[in-house]
Amino acid sequence: MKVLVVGANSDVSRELLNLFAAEGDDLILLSRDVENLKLLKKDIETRYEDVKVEVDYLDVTDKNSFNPIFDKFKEVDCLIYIAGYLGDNERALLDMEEAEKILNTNFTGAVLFINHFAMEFAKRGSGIIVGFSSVAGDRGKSSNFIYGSAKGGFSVYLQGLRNYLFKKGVKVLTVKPGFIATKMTENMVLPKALTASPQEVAKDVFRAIKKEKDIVYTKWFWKFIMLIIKLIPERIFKKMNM
Amino acid sequence: MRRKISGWGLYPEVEAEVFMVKKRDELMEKISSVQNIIARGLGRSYGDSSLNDHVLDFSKYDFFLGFDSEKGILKVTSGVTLDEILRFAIPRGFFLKITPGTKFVTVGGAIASNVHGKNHHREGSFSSCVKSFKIVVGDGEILECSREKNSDLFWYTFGGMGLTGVIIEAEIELKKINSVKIDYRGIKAENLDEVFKLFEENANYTYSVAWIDCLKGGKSLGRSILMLGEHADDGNLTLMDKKEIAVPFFFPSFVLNKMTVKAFNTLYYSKQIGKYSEKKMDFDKFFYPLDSILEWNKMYGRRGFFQYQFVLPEDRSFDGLKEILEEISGSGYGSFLAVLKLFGEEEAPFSFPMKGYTLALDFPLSEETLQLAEKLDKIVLKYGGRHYLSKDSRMSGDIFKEEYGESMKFFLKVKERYDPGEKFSSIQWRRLFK
Ligand SMILES: Cc1cc2nc3c(=O)[nH]c(=O)nc-3n(C[C@H](O)[C@H](O)[C@H](O)COP(=O)(O)OP(=O)(O)OC[C@H]3O[C@@H](n4cnc5c(N)ncnc54)[C@H](O)[C@@H]3O)c2cc1C
Ligand SMILES: NC(=O)c1ccc[n+]([C@@H]2O[C@H](COP(=O)([O-])OP(=O)(O)OC[C@H]3O[C@@H](n4cnc5c(N)ncnc54)[C@H](OP(=O)(O)O)[C@@H]3O)[C@@H](O)[C@H]2O)c1
Repeated sequence: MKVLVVGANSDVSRELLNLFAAEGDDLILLSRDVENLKLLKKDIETRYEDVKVEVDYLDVTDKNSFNPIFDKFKEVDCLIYIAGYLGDNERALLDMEEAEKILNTNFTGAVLFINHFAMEFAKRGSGIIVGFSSVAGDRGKSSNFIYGSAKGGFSVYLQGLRNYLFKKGVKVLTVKPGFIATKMTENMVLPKALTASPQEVAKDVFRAIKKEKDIVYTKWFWKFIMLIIKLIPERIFKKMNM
Repeated sequence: MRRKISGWGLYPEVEAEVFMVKKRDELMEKISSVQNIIARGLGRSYGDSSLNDHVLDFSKYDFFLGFDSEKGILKVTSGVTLDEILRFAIPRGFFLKITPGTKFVTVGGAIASNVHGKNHHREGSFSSCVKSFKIVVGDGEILECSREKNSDLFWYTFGGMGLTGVIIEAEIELKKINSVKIDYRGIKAENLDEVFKLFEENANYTYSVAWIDCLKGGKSLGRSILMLGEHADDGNLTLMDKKEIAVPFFFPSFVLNKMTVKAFNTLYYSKQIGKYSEKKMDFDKFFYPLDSILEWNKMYGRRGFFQYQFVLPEDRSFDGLKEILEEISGSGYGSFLAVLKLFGEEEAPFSFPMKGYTLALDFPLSEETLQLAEKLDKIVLKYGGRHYLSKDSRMSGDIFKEEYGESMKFFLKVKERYDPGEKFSSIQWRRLFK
């Protein structure tokens, strides 16, 4: 299998790549920091001699840079969109650049990039698309609703896409992590019991891909936490400090 | 991010700015922008060697950079752990040439402490498997070091406790094996006299170490079990998946008192029934008996503990150890784990090992045990021995300077050459070298 990863420098991605490589899958790594991608390539090719790794520059907020990538990488079996940008909600309310970056990285860029492969996969009648959304997209809350709304939009997109591609033999997996201890959250104090390690998330996602699941929450109990949070009536929720 | 950190002994604990090293350019920028920096691996050194105002955490800087399977030479970034290397190496028929008693240490930490294993008398310390490394020195330059290139910096970085600079990459040589198993042989020794004899008689074994019951005095002073090992040769190179268990909370400090230590030691000694015992053992069990219990350091309670490890010159080892063991058994503060080992010659000039016997002990932290340690310091010094910096959190600067004497002066010259502005320092540095 050939796996293409968008945002391959993410901490979760690194763990996921190891799982694919251990099965002998070839990998295409896309992200902005190509130097770091090259380091990852070396690492994977040393640990797994029979795996071929290609790397290339991609900025998901720049749609004009997509076409060369589409032309270069034609044979892909599994597309993983893991790029994400949390940003600063307060700043995003005042600064259009920040708001746009959050929306583009987590939603617009994702839709524009995935559309191309969705159509390719549909034509061929096979393929897997994995999108990293977030529990933050399940309900808008005051602390991160710009990011949350982008992730929410992404979740809905993936949902519709799954529906659209179902008869064409293409699988779509939505990943909804809770807290993960990665560079995205390294300056935040996270509740230990609710926080997953990148390895745990990668294992959950890998298993969900193998089992052809539609949606996976990770850690698993976030499914129930979000169920409860979604049940809180809006007139109460709006008064809560979340 | 600022947070509280400590070494494995949980003492001392300090607040530091911890910078996660991920990318080389970010690292270089950090080094140029602050003073009082020290590198840190997995924090398995017991004391204050990896503590400072600014700590560069290398535990996530773990990339494999290439492997020459003909020569067995592996190139890695410095945050790669020995655990990761074993997972990689064993299925390919290779093993670490030198490994300490835990596999949860980084290559950078293994170089900086110049760690030793159960085979020091035959194969030396970690320096003997390092071909070269890259290090960032005080002015931010990256220097490549080997036996041929920048050899002064190369040699004094072993045992240099991160004070010569920040290691970013290393090339290490692995050794060939043909099994994940160890052919183990255990021999009971009635006393110190006998265990010394047994060490000498069995010097041909690649691996040897003895566990000592240090609560025993009188005729049984030095009662111990000598544990010997060789790599088996059965062609089985399959790694087993193991579950680790964690000590989930701090034990209240009364759990480990004189009585429990005594009971443990008696049990341990009687576990082996006959004089000799032979079996095939998994490598993990032989080399890393404590690694299956994650965070076992919490057993000593919140106050923490300290390790006490020293070495005495071979010709004076017997008398010195006798005096020290008498002092300990007299005090009643026996140590849970007391490990005795015979070192061979040491090639690195500023490292802990020297030809002679080394003993490592654990003590829960208290006024009484700290006083006992100070008494022991004097005996170690009297016999011309020295302490291991990776385990130390409490020795005085005066003792250290006398113990390391000339070699410390040479070390300071090298440090002055490569880090004149003292960019790199640690709490241990201020405690011992100043
Ligand atoms: C259960 C247990 C058993 C042990 N058994 C042994 C044994 O048998 N033999 C033995 O020799 N030791 C032993 N040790 C000690 C341990 O091997 C050393 O302390 C080792 O250095 C720890 O490595 P670390 O990666 O955790 O480094 P840390 O503890 O984080 O740091 C140790 C030192 O290395 C320096 N350092 C770390 N990374 C770098 C870098 N990238 N560049 C420059 N300097 C760096 C630090 O500044 C510090 O001075 C044992 C420890 C434990 C907990
Ligand atoms: N961490 C959490 O608690 C958490 C919780 C819920 C959901 N998630 C989601 O899970 C996914 C993985 O998270 P993570 O914590 O592993 O993230 P991370 O370590 O912060 O990595 C995100 C990666 O996205 C890439 N990226 C960012 N902007 C990009 C752009 N414009 N173009 C291309 N690549 C870009 C970055 O690589 P380059 O710098 O190389 O471009 C970065 O390495 C993300 O989608 C995140 O939103 C995370």
